[in-house]
Amino acid sequence: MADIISSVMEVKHIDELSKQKNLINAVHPLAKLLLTLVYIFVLASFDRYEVAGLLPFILYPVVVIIICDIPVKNIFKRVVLLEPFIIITGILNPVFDKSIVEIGGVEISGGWLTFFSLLLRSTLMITAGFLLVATTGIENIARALTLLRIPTVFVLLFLLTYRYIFVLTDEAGRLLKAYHMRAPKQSGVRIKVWGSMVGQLLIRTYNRAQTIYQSMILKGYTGRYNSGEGSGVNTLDIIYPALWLLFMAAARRFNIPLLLSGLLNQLV
Amino acid sequence: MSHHKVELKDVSFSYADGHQALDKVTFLLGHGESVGIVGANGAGKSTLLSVLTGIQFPQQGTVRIGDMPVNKKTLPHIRRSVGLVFQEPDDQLFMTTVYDDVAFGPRNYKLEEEEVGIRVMEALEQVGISHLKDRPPYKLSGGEKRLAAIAAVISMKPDILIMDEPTASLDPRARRKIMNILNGFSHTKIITSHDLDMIMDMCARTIVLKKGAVAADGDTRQILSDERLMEECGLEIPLALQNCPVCRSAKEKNLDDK
Repeated sequence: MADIISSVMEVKHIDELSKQKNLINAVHPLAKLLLTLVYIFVLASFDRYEVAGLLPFILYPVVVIIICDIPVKNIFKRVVLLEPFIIITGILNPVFDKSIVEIGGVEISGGWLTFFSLLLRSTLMITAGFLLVATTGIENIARALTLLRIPTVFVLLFLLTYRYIFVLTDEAGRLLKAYHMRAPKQSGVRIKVWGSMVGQLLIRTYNRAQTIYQSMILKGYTGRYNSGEGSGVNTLDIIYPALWLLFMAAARRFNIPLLLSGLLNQLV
Repeated sequence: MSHHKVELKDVSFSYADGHQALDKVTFLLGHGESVGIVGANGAGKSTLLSVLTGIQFPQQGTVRIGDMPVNKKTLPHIRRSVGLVFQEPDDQLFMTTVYDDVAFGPRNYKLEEEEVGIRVMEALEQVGISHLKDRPPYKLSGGEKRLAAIAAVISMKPDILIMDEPTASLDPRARRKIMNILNGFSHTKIITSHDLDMIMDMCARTIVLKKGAVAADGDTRQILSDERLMEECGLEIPLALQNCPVCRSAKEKNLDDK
């Protein structure tokens, strides 16, 4: 449990990478947000048995990580943390889907293929999400959401969730610490105590939410979030997403790995 | 400068469970006054602050800030002239950078972004933390958070500054720094605290609350040195006024110096 808490606490460090100066960080937040959404949408649009066609999409995170000099370990650790959830979602595919798919003369179980396709897709999507945070920063993403005319309540909820997830994890951490100090021989928390512990956390969260809201209305908040002025649009904001969109369109339209292997076969 | 005036007349407030938190509280604070509000836990200090800022409305009595009664209609004006610094800075610093937090108030009043920038930098410089403007609030130390919370309030240029336990859980140096900064402000100040030594240093006048009612109101040194009154109200006389723990001699010199 303590590991999960410390991992959540570490997420905030990703956001700080967006303060560095480089080519991608300088691109308009709206361009990067839309690009990430398109990337996720395109990945989701592939057939459930597709694995080879997804491979070119690995290029996007790789290029962003290299250009922005993002420590791979930082991103990898967080993606791995979410991996069990994806595995749980897809682990029953091989059990239920008994069909046999033939790829290049090799027979493969359709269930396992859909599982790997899901794993690859989800991993790429999560990585793209983390990279958006690492290259844009949460505030700028919120600013881009405002530009997209997302209702201000949602934008503020998004910002506040990000701001307070750490405070709440801290709170949960303190509760757990207090529990373990008085129950030294237990490895986990007894099921009997779970109810009151979660209830405590809920009440504390509710109280804190009320105080924060009071603090907001005392500072003139009337339901409208004013994020300040953003930067203007320049050539890079057009060229950067345009190049990626072209690549994604090509990778979606043509199965590049199959084309390359066909080309190699012909040459050989 | 009547807009800096704070007036409470027979203010009573009870919570839904029947607990009476304020009982006929009456006082008048003038422009530029620095007033300490003290009392044991549960004496009604926090409720008093809620009533002063219009977070809650009393069932009886009137609250006036300047020439305006505090009611739903006047709230936007009231909140512009009254700034409340919360006890827990984490409740007040909810944005992702110190700059955005300090800018939150001015932006809500639809000021031009240029004016917002000027106000933010002024406020940050006043509390000496302009170098922290791009830092996320959760990364600041306790003292820095407290300063950022004060900056977030003074950027709205309030006439009256209300502070709930401004020195709680600070180390001695951070506590002294906050006190020096607050002493430099010319605002009307209302400070609630259990740190009676700080109240003695900063406030010429003190109001003591006991079970929601005003038990005493007057000169800080006189009130805080009244051992019987302090005892009755669940308080103790400040350390600076207590006898020397080694030789048991009274701190007369200390009193004379003040």
